[in-house]
Parts: sequence; C-alpha cells; structure tokens
Amino acid sequence: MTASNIELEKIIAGCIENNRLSQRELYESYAPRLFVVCRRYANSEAEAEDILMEGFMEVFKNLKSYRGEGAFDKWIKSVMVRSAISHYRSTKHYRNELLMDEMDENSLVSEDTTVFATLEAKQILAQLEKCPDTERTVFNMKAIDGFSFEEIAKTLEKKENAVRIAYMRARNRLMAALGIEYR
Amino acid sequence: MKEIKDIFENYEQKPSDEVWNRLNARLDAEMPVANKVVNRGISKTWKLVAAVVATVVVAGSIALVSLMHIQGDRPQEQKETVREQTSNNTEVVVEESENSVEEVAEPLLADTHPVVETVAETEKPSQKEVAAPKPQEAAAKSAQKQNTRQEVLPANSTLARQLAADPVLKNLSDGSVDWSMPAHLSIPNLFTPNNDGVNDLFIIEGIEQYASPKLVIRDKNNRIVYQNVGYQNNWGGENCPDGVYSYEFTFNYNGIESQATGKVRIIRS
Repeated sequence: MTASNIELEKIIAGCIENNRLSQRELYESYAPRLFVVCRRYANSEAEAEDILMEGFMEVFKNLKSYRGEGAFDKWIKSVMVRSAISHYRSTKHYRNELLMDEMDENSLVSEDTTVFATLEAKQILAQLEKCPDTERTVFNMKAIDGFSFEEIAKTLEKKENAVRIAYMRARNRLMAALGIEYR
Repeated sequence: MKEIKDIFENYEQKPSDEVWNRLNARLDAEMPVANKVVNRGISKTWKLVAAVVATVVVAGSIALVSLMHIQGDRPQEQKETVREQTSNNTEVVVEESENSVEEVAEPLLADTHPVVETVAETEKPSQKEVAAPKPQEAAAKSAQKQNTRQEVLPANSTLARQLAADPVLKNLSDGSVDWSMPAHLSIPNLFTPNNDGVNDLFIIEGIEQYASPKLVIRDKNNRIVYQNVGYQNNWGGENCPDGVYSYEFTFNYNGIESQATGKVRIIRS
C-alpha cells in the first residue's frame, strides 16, 4: 500500500471523525486495488462501481470496529468481498439460473488453480464477466478469496454440492475461454 | 507456478472519478459533517467561558444577598415581605380572572365535537340564585321525574360558535336567546308512553333539519332494543318496561356527522 503505517493511522483517525478529506485520502489510496476485487465479482464495470461504493460506505461506517488487529489491507479487502457477496445476494431475484444440482458429480475433480499461471489478470477479468453470477461468485470466493466450499454454501444459502459444481463449471468455462489445458 | 489469486495480488485498476462523487454524495446523505473542526473548537471555548462567567455571577450574587441580609434592618425586611404579600394577592386575583376567561373559552377548543349542553330547565341557575344552591339540588333529586332535555348543537352551527365564544350569550340561557334556530336539537331525558296524549313518544326536537338521523336505544344490558336509520320521532317505548335506557343519536349536518348520547327514562304510571 502507498500509505505508511503512521500516515494510515492518521487517515483512519480522520475517517472515524467523519473528516471528508481523510475519507477521500483513504479512498484514493485503496480504491484501485479494491476495484479489482469488485471487478472480479461484478458482471460489468458499472456493477463493480456500485459494489465499490457500497463497500466503501461499509468501510466508513464500520471503521470504529477495526481495532488495529491484523493488517488493515486484509480487513478492508474482506469488507469489500462481503459487500460484493451481499450485492450478489441482493440481486438474487433478478436471476434465472439453471438448477445446478442436475449436473452429474463426475466433474468434481481437483480444486487446483495453478493452471492460470501464465495468464494476465485483465484477460481473466474479461472472461469472469461473462460467467453467470453464481458461478463467478463461487469461483471468486473459492479460488481467490480463500473461502471453503462449506463457507460458500453457508453464505450463499446453497447446497455444498451445488457450490462445488458451480465452481467446476466456472473453472471449465474459464479454461475453455482462455484456451488452456488443465491437468 | 502461480495461482490465480497471485495474479490478482498486485493488480490494480482505477475506478472512474465519478465513483468518488457518488460516494461523497452518499456520505453527505448518511454521515453528514456536523461542523467544521475550527467552529467546534470555538464553540467549546465559548461554552467554557460562559460557564465560568455564569458561576462567577451566581457566586457574586449569593455573596451580595448574604451581605445584605447581615447588614439590613429587620423592619425593612418586614416591610418588604408585606409588600411581597400584597403583590402576590393582586397576582392571584389576576390569575383567577384569567382562569374564568379560559373556562369560558374552553368550549371553543372542542370544535369538532358537537357542543352538548344539558340545559336542565328546572335546574337552570341564573347567577343571582347561586347563593342558595342546596335546596335546589335537593329539589332536583326528589323530583327526578321532571322533564329535562339535552340541547345539542352541532359544532359547525353558527349558534354553537356564538354560544361557545360569547360568555354573555352563554349565561343568558333563560329564554332571551332564540334556541329554535336551525341546527338545534333537543333530546328529552324521559317520556311517558301511557297513551294519555302527553309526551307519549321519544321526540327529538329539531330532528327534521338533519339528513339520515339514526337512533339506537340500548337497555341496561347494552342490548339494542330499538334502532332506526331515518328516525321520525315515532318510538313509543314498545316492548320496553319502565326504566332507564341509553340512546345514541347520530345525525348529519352539512356533511359532518355528529353524535349525541345520553340516558332516557321511560315512565308509564
């Protein structure tokens, strides 16, 4: 991160006092990185901006509860991920997705994601956008943000099997789209 | 070998500037900045100064008062207290008069409800007779059969307004005021359905002025013994033994619905 620890503490203190300048500073220094998180979860740039804004509102409202335990980077990123997930959940009723339980379970193989090695983030983002919402959300949570399938199933209120299938489908989709063979 | 999360680890992308503008607007809406920091500081110091000044003033005045008590002569104090008492008395008088004015004005407040005035014709105490109220009360109790009527005036009638507003008019309920103006109702508190041709029906005077006058009569057990939408002064207490009944008279005047409730006694013998 650009801000050193002392500077960061100052900025956080200012944000807690609802100082607009500090809030702007925090936003400027974290937005580029967090925006990528939002882009991963969103199906368009506009949706990513919505998620980013909601996420920052949550950050500013809940900064008091951040007590300096653990890295601030991780905290603010987790807030953003939560914002993305809740955005996914809030748009649930707009979706009309296939029942994933119908898929056969033979495709449930490895959870390996190393195959993406040579790819650039930009390419992956472009392909992720094309994925169905659920698949994209599950893939993000599992492959990048380190949730377990059990946790994902709980947060998204889906069956664990369905989550696994969504993950595999997203993965296969990405592989195919990016022209990569996987082991 | 890199994992996908490593690819995103240090990847950054700048959102459009519009996002901050929207965020700023949201912040203004949900977490408005109360005061500028400088202002807050000034107000705090001002508060401090004010508090200090106040304490100084209070302490000084207490000291002054105590000094005066020590130095002052007793007769002077007595005089002062007497003065205070007299001034208090005058104040009390003023307050009383104000109260009376307020009492007169009170009915005005109940503007939406019908102005219900029970004008007991036998008990009508003019202001001169107030001196001897006890025998009157006794007489009233002994002669409960005396026919009194509830005078009902819808709140929107000009007469009701005049009566409520004008204390002179209010006290002149001895016949010098024309009670039979439009929108005036008079409901009896007893009638004698014994076919003697006198007071045989429950007659509400002035009923013809109202659209859809509805009458509901209940007995002691709150059972409806008579009801009529469009009452035409034709209830003669049929199938009702002597006793006290409650009536609920709903009437409509100029589109405003009002209700008058009360008790009515049936006496045959």
